[in-house]
Amino acid sequence: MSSAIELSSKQKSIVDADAGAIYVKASAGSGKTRVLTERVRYLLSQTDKKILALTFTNKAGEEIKERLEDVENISARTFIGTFHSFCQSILEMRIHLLGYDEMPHIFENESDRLELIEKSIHQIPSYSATYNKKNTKEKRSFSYRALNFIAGVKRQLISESDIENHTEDKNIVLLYRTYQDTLRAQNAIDYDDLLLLAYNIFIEFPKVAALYRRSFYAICIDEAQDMNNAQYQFLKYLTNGELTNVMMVGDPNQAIYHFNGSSSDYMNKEFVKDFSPKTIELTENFRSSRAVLQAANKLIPEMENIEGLVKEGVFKRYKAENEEKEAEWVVSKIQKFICLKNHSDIEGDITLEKIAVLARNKYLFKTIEKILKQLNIPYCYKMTPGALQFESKIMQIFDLALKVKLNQDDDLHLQRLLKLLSLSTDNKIDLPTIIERLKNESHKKIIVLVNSLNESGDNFFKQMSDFKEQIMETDDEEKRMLWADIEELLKHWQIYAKNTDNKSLHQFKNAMALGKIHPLSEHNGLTLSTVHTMKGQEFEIVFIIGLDDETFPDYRAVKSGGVDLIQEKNNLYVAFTRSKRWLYISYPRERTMPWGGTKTREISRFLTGFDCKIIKENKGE
Amino acid sequence: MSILIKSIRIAGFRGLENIEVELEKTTVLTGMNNTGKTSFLKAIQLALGSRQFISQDDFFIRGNDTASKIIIDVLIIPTGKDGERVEAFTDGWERLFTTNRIQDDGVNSFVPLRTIVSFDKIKNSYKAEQSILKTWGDFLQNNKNWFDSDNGIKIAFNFDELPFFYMDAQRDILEDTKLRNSYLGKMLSKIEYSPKDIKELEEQISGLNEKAVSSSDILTTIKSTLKGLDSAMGTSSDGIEITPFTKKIRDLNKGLTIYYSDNQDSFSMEYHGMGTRSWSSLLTLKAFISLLTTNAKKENSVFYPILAIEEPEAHLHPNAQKKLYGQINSIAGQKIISTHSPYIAATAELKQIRSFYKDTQVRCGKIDIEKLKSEELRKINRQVINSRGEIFFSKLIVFFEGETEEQALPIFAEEYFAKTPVEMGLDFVGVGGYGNYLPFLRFAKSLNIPWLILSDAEYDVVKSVNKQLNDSGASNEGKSIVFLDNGNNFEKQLMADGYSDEIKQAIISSENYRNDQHRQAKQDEIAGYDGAELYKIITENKTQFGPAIAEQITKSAQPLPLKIVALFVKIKSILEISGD
Repeated sequence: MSSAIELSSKQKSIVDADAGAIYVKASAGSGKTRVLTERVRYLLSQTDKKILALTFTNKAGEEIKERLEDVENISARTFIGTFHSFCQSILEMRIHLLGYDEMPHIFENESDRLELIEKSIHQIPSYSATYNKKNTKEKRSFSYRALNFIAGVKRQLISESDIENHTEDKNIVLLYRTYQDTLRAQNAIDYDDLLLLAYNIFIEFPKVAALYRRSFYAICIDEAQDMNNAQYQFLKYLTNGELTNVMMVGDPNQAIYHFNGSSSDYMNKEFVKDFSPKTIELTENFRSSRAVLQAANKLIPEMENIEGLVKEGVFKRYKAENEEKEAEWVVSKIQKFICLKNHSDIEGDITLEKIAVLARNKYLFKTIEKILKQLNIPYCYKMTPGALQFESKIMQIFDLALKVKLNQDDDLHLQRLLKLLSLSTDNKIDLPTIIERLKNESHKKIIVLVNSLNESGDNFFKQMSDFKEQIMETDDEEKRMLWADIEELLKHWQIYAKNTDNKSLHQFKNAMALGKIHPLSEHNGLTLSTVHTMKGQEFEIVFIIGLDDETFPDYRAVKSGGVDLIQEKNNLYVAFTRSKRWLYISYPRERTMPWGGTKTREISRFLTGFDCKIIKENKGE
Repeated sequence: MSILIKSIRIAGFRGLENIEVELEKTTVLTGMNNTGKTSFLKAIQLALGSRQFISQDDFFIRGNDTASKIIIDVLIIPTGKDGERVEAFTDGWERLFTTNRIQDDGVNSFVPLRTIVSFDKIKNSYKAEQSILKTWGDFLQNNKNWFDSDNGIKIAFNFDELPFFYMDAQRDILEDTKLRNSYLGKMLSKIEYSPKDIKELEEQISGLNEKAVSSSDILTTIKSTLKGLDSAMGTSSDGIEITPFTKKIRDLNKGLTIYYSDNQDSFSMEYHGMGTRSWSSLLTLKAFISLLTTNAKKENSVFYPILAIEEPEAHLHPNAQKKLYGQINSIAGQKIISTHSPYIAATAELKQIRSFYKDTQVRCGKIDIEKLKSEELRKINRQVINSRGEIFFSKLIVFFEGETEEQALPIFAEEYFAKTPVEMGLDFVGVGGYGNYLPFLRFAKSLNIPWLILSDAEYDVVKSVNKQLNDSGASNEGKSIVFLDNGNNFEKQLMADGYSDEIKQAIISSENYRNDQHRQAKQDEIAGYDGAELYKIITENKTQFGPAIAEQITKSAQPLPLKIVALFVKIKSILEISGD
């Protein structure tokens, strides 16, 4: 497998570099993740210790794991994942050292945290008074500021007892403590606590830190420009001047998570100062082809640097008779690519997974979806990543009931559950009692189901599937929604079950909370996506359909003009740059209106005067 | 720089309801039959070896209740050069166990492994789940049993570097040569020769075969007759070959026989007794482990075998039994030996002995070496263990000060019980002075062996003995001691009890006489001794007169001394209570 990986000589010099600290300044598209992955592979061949690879998204971690799948015993020999999941793994094993009886539940939702902070605010008289006078919007903004403050404290790795020494404001100290107490009372921690607590274990138990330090031969950090203070300090303590094989890969010009307290300074300045790494710059651009970037530059000039581009690529336009023909053309083209199997522009086999069809809005996919269904071509919609959000009321009840079941101390979600079930609030109440009190049959049924789930999760799939077959909802829309929710949940479960040896409901819930098992992380078939949900993801081959004026740009933007129109142009630019190699754009000359009749369409105003290769309709190239 | 299984806790397995046993590098399990020694070894297997043997009968039963699960906790700790506990595992072990299995309390690293075996109703089979505990807590804390603690994080625990070997009592080298999955079979299947060696060996075998056939008329005739097959089949190949010796080197293991010669004649194992065969089997395990150790060293990998050996003494002559401990002790890794052999128990170190016994449930006793001073330890070793290994298996030990008792008491006992003390499992141990009881009391107490004291009754003696009893923590003060009458020692007591005639007879019978005249003169002289003279004689030569006096007393019409009878009544009641 490894021989199949193409590496430029520059990339190879990093992959095969001697032990020691390395700072890879990598510009966009220079193959950061690939270099990191291959470096991990190389390091594994140099040692029988473990390699720690830290990423900033679960998706990046999954990608690295997938690429290293062929390495024997890979999961035992590496820890690949986000800072947070690494910290979680430490805490699951050792949080008892900090006096916890068991692993707390992770409150990941912003809405959960907002509710907690509001509760805390009410407990502090001086805040409570002013807070109550505020309007909803002001209240919200106050809560957000409070949350940000708390997150900020945690990211500074300031311990609860030490916070007094960092601010004069007694009230805010009080608020912080109240918030922490409220969390603790529910046997919960928030996201930032994961890092803070893991850090505390290392500080209070240096031998434990040393144990981890010894267990790793090297640490590789992807997208290191996104590191924040807590993460950097954690890393520094983990390495402690003894573990010097640290590689950071990042683009100082590309920090995106500023709200997170992140700064490229940790990589660019602190790391350089503390580790004196060998610095290597990667400027070659493999991400896009020349054809794609030239097209993008025509949309918004001088946005992309064409220098260093390695692949030639394709950019073509197709004008179809109507939507039907446009969809047929796209599908037949895709089929041809699949038959072609490989091409020097594209690494590995050409598969449906490497192809995406984009459009301005999701209704534009109707025709193409129909054809894909007819031809039995697998496809999937790209969704927003993150924790699973249920649409149907029944599954919202399920979600809350599950949280209550798994954490008896979780008063927050218990009260929310009671509210949703229209039951009077009650402090210490368990699911069986709720079941007794419920009149509504379908509500009762879902809680009975939650109550019957085994901690080990061994009856989860069966119970949920059975439930899906016996949905009682009469309203078609609600029924459809509920069905989709359960399907989605089962999908999550299957991914979880497939990747986990020792399953438990608790762990499943935490994995869902961290977005670790989102179906997105393993998509199958062709991807259909709106331009908005595609941000940050790229495909070898991209089709953008519906590039007629007033579709893209959207008619509303055309009407309002100004900033909205500029935004539309940016959107199209983003859509273009989703393609790494081949970009095909198309539009129909006429569209059928829902109320009957057709309307003639013109090409998008952004594309007039583009001299790209135009595919003649009748040639059907 | 290695590791050690420091402690094992078992709940719900066979006869073991709830027990903790601390292990040494070599541990020797003693105890009567049916006290759970084999179950203990099997429990270690459940945690670290194959679990295929498990059946419904392996779950603990009390009354009508059967345990729903078997829980076994194993504590693995890092050790230093001299086997002492150290803080961290070596690199190699850390790499093997990883941070997913190593707990650290801030000072010490350890691996707390839990194994739970239960019945999986869906699969209709037994399943074992392993996990790493958060801590290694107390056996019983705030009324909470160890097995009620959190199971921790599930994770597999199965390493070639930490292999488990079980040697059951029925081992036999002859069986081993036939079984591919015996240790011998495994080794034989791994035999490898270079292609060059194979060629050479097979050429030599072929030469041997040719010579064997051509030198034998019978074989030559058979061969040429069988050639007829060729014409019958219509082929003309060299189809017939007769090979008295195995032809292919890879078949070597199939026909392997082991000969053992005792200087003159060499016999195949089949003609040896079970003792030799059993011991050979044990030695092949030793060979197998040393092979694995060498391989591990070559690959620079860690290696720590765990051996559970059931009654290694089976079928062996006492002299061979005496050497067994040393043989086993020198095998790499950690050894747990169950035994009924006094020789093995006596050659082991005191701290390595674990005595299994059953009261309300199966328990395990060990001698707390820390509490014994080195002088005391030497006393125990010198006075008991070196010469009397059976003491570990005793049903009751009677302690007393001196040699006269040691000589006399067995004779009295045989008279009183009409059975020999050996038959009864009764041991008489002189501690060598009234100040020396304490270490022996500790010894008996820790191994849960019932004991009694027959003590002299001089003022200082009584005071000292009572204090030692108190120090040993014995709660049944008084009940376990028979003091002689005030101020008496054993000899004085006999005189006071009116056995002067028997003592005189004993002295007379043990003198050497030149002739009848001399005898008569001596007898007259002895008959005239007063108490003081008699006392002087018998205390000056205790070992000589002890048995003689006892014999005279048992022969005479006089009843046994009252104090001795009092002691025997106690013995009787203890041995009856303990079910004999």
